[in-house]
Amino acid sequence: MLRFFGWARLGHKSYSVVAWGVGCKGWAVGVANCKRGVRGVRGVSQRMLCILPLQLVHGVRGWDGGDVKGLGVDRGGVDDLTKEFLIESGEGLDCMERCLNDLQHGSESGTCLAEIFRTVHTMKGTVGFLGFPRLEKMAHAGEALLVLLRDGKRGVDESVVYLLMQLTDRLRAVLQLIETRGHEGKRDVDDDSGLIEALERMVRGEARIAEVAPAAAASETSVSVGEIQAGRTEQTVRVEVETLNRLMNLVGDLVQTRNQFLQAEVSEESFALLGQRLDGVTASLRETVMQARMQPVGHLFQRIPRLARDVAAICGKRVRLEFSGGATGLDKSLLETLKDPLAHAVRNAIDHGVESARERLKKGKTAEGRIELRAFHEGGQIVVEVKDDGAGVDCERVVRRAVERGLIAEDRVAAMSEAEKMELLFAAGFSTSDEVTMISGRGVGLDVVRANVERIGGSVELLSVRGEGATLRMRVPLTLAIVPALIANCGGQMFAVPHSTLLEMVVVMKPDEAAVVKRIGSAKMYLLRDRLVPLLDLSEMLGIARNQGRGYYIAILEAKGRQFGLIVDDMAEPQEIVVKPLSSVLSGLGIYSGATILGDGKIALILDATGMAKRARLCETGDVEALAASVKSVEVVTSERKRAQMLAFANHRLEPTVVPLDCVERIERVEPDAIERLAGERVMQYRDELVVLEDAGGLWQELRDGSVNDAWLVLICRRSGKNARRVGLVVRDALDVLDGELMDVDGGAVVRTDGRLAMFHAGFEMQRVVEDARLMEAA
Amino acid sequence: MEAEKLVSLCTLRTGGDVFGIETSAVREALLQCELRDAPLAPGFVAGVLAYRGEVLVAVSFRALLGLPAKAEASSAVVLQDGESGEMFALLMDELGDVAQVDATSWEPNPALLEARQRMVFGGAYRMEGTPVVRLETERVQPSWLMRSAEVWR
Repeated sequence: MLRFFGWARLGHKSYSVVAWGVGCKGWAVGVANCKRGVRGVRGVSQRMLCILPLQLVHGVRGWDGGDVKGLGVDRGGVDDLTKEFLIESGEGLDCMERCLNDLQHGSESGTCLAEIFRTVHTMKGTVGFLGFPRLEKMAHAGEALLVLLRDGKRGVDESVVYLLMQLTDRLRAVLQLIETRGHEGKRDVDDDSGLIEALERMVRGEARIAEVAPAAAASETSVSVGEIQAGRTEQTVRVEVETLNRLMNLVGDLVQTRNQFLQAEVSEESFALLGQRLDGVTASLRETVMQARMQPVGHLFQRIPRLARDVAAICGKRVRLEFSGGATGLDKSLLETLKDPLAHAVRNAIDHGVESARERLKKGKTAEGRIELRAFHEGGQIVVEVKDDGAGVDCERVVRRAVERGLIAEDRVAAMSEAEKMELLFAAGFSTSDEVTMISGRGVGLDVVRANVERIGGSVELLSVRGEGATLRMRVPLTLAIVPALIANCGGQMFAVPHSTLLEMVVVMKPDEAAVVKRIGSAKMYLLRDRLVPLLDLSEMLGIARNQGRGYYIAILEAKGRQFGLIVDDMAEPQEIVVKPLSSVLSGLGIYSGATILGDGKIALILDATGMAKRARLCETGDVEALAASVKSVEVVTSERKRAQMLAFANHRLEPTVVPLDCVERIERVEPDAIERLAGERVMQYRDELVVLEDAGGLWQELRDGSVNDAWLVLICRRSGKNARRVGLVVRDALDVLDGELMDVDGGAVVRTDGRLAMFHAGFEMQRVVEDARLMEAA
Repeated sequence: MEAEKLVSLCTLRTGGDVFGIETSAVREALLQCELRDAPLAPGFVAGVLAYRGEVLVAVSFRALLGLPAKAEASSAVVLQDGESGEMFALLMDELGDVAQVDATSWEPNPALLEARQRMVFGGAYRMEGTPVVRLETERVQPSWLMRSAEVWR
């Protein structure tokens, strides 16, 4: 079987590929000369190169008997040895960066230099063995300089540190290339001769500080300030053998307990004892596995000094960093998610928080700004905070800015509380920076930070004291695997509501309902103390029947800074639930974030508050201007000729197929015996007219073997063109009316509706249809 | 007599037909499974079920064939989605035995087959005269169903 995984254009020659076979690992790149595209694949241009996994390749043959020009095997991907090297080197570079930072701040240089030397030396040895000449050359040049430094033949100064930092960046960039592309980079940009030369000149003692330092700083900041991509290597966890041994022992213990259980009689006295033992084993097993996943938060802090240095240099400010609580453990996956938010926070603190040195002195502060990064446990959560001693948030300026940017209406300002004003900082598209710089002012900031942290069940808050500084506090759960949650019952089905999104629970008894549940138009609201909170009915949303009891519960949830109430039948006591991932079929719906297996073996689906709010369109602002803008954009879209409303139906091939809705006059339900045969065609009478039927649902066959007795659906359509006449499309089922866009593939046979593709039923043309409709209107 | 080339099939029943899935593809056969509804899920999903500490999506074979759902609990086989690597359960009316059938008795789908059936039927083997339909496991896996047919939603 042929399967296609990717296409690439190759030069000016016409290529395409047919290849099949069994064998080795890796990818085959087959190139065959042929005139046509490969059969079975639409819209493939002639000049293509096809890449497919070798497991699927049986042999190579030219299409149309054309010549096979060559078959190459490109060993893409990264083998295990290289993967290990990438992880190790990444860690080495992290360590090197940390040491360089210490050096810069004037700590004792001996151990630091030895550490750096060891990293570069190890790398040089490994890359020679793995065959990465580019890395080897750089490591070699670096090593030569480091030998001098280590032996004290050359002093450590700013220029040396800058140059070594530049080397670290380069090495890291090459490692990333190897990880993503499998090679070191072959383009002109990937030329290191400048850096190597600088290193060599430094060894010879020729370079002067002024020459190297500024250039190095300017050219490299763009790399480190930009987003650090999460690579494949970050998906691995290092676990100590001792932890594994402990786990193995515990599993052994578990097996033993199970065996005893199987042999024991329920009536035996020891049975209760066995239960206790099982409980103990389970608890320690869980704890050990959790520990194995824990990583110190200090890992997060490692890259911050470098980032802070670069950002401060660009802003022309001076900052001093202080860290505490680096040893606090946090689940590895959470750690990865916090990386970008933390970088954002530090960038913000330096750019917006800390004032310039002169301004600080004027206010009686030290010239150097102080940024404190802390991590600690608090109430079963981990708190990571970034605190600066800068100017704090200027609420009035925030409000002015929000009004300018059209985020709020001016007349609403007066009614806003201080907290609500601060909340504006988290609005999407908000930025107080007057100009867009490399580090900020692009309007992607705190809203992204909040979204990232909330995705892992955490929360973000900003505390600020005018003139004394601001603190960005991120709270995240200890782990994603086990969360406290309330189990809700709705229509006899169980749902779990995680505590992280739950604010409070209220009971509404039937007699009191009218007093607390208000209606505004079609919307239900709950009167929570002095505020009205929008209400969502879970049973309505999911289409399940609710048990009508004497009352119901409302869970007040928070998503994206908005509160809403969720109506459920009943609530059970809080539990710690083990989160199980759901197949993408269900998690793609957006309302379930996972599932859990309850004590009695039943499954509860975990509700995603953000997803539910989104589904109910709670997060959209009711701003009239925004509404008007969205209406406008709809108009723009519909005025395009190639967009129209489509009727989707099920045809015989079970492909979603559509016809333009304008073409469809009526959808008729027709009894099979109303269909007549005439001159070899099936026809039916419709409004004193003969309508020829077309089989789009594969139903003729079923008619012949007599397996259908049901009525059929016939779409009475009007064909476009000069001799326009009515035809009937016999379909299996009419599905939905969708907004569709004709795509330029193979003469426009494909329609995109709501991000999905559907076939466009042949014989109908949208463009003319639109014109037809206009003509009819005119007439 | 020439040695027959045998295929080992796990037999299952749904509607009036007997189906066979290669034994190697079946992770486990569940004689009785407790299903839980998954509201708003696509039409081919009958619900979710707990299996070995994981929560699996259950694909209703009846829905794929366009048959009405059955009220009583059905059996299921646990299969692996070749594309996403996830496991999923395929709900069948009844589980049968493991049977060895002659590979040479395989015949392609009859031309008269209905479209829905043509999609998941992969020809049939003969077993003591009765046909055993080879089930196209690739065509019942959730990732394929999600992609292929808006019809199921």
